[in-house]
Amino acid sequence: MTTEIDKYLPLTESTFFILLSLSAGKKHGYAIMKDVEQLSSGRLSLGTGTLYGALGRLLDQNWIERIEERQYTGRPRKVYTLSELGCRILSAETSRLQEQLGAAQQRLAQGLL
Amino acid sequence: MTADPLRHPEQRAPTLIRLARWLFSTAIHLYPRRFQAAFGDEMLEVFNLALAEAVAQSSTALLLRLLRELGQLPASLILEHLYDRRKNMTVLPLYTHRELNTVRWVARGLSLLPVLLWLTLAIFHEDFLAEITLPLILIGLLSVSLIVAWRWEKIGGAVTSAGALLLFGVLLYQNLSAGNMITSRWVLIFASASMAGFFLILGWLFLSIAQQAPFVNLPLERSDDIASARPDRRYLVVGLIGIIALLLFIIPIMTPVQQRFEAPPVTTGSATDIMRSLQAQGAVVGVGSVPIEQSFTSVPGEVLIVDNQEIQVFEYADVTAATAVASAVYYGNSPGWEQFMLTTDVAHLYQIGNVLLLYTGSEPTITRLLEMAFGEREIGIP
Repeated sequence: MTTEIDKYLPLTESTFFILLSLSAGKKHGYAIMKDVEQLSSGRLSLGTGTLYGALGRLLDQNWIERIEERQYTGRPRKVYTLSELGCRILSAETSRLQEQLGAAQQRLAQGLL
Repeated sequence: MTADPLRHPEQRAPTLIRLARWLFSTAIHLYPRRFQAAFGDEMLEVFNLALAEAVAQSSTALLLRLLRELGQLPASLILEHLYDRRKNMTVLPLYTHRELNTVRWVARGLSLLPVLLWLTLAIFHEDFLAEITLPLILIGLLSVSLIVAWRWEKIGGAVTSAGALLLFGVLLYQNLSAGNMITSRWVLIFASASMAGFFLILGWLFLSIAQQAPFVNLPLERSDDIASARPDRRYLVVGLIGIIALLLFIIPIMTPVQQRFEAPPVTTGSATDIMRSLQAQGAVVGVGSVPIEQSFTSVPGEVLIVDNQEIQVFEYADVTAATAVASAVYYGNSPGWEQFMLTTDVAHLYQIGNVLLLYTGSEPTITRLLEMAFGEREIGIP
């Protein structure tokens, strides 16, 4: 049975990694960019334009939130954090990927792959 | 050596870095305004940080970062513009079911117009239907696509736009290549072309409605709510008035008018005068070596080579004799002309006083030249 969340799945790779990056806590743009690269083992390297395009869409869909915080220098800086909806979507996508991985591992154990 | 992301990037490769920063800050201005306002400053800051870190690593890292940033820019720009357009359709602010339905029914009412045009052409202009077969087929296709758009708005809208564009192109080409937009037939076709332009907008309207649909949770491909949605009576009345007004506009245009043949002003001249007049318009005119005879003329003619095109000149003793031949052609009482038309695709016959000019080509520059030299002297067909 499909749930309300299932209609957003599967996520694109960049969306998944951005949400995953924010699951560890609020981050500013550059930190997200670095984290995504690290989480994807260097496979996914987002350009600044691509990153902010994705962040803009995630904000529009209310999957993430944007907060202004003060740096130690006193300058304000925008940081991003996962919303409750974003958290549920990330969780659902992770479960979906886990199911796929489980199925593949079963076949692997049977020597069929 | 550890990277210091806050170190100013100009320290290692000033020219390249400066150029990259200039390029990137310029590119930010190419993003949609709302996007720029929301993320512009942040993007520039992140770009500078990324560059600073790459500079601290190595020249290769810097080059790779620049390639990545600049390489992803075009796709990102296009994507953001498309997204912004879809997100902020300001032309049609349709955000409720009620507003969407209003526009939908107005568009549907208007979509009856090409059917009406088709029927009017078929009823009132059966005499030259064969000559406008292509426009008729295209108008027919347009009508069908608009009816399709009633049910499948997205597909119907796309087909309508494509059909209207095709119709507009074909009719415009026909007009331009004919080089003569003043006869009633071409006025009619030009009117149809203008109408095609109008339906291009209508197709876009259908597409816009279909694109707006997701924002009000309506199905994108099929408008299943049609059965349940009833048009507001006011719009039906407006639609009805519009159709009546259009009928009143179309019928007089479509109805063939029996025109009387009007003999041109009395002037006399010779082939030499014709030559001089054409040369005065900047044409290169030569004289053909062999005299020519046509079955519908009672006198032999001579051939002028005007800008590499042949024009036959028949000189009569007086204007009355030339007018007699011209009016016989005009009223369809010239068997010789009918016979001649079986052997040629296109013919333009002009009367200039006591001289008849025959041009059997379709070069618009020549017909325009003749018009400029002698005025509107082509003998039309009523």
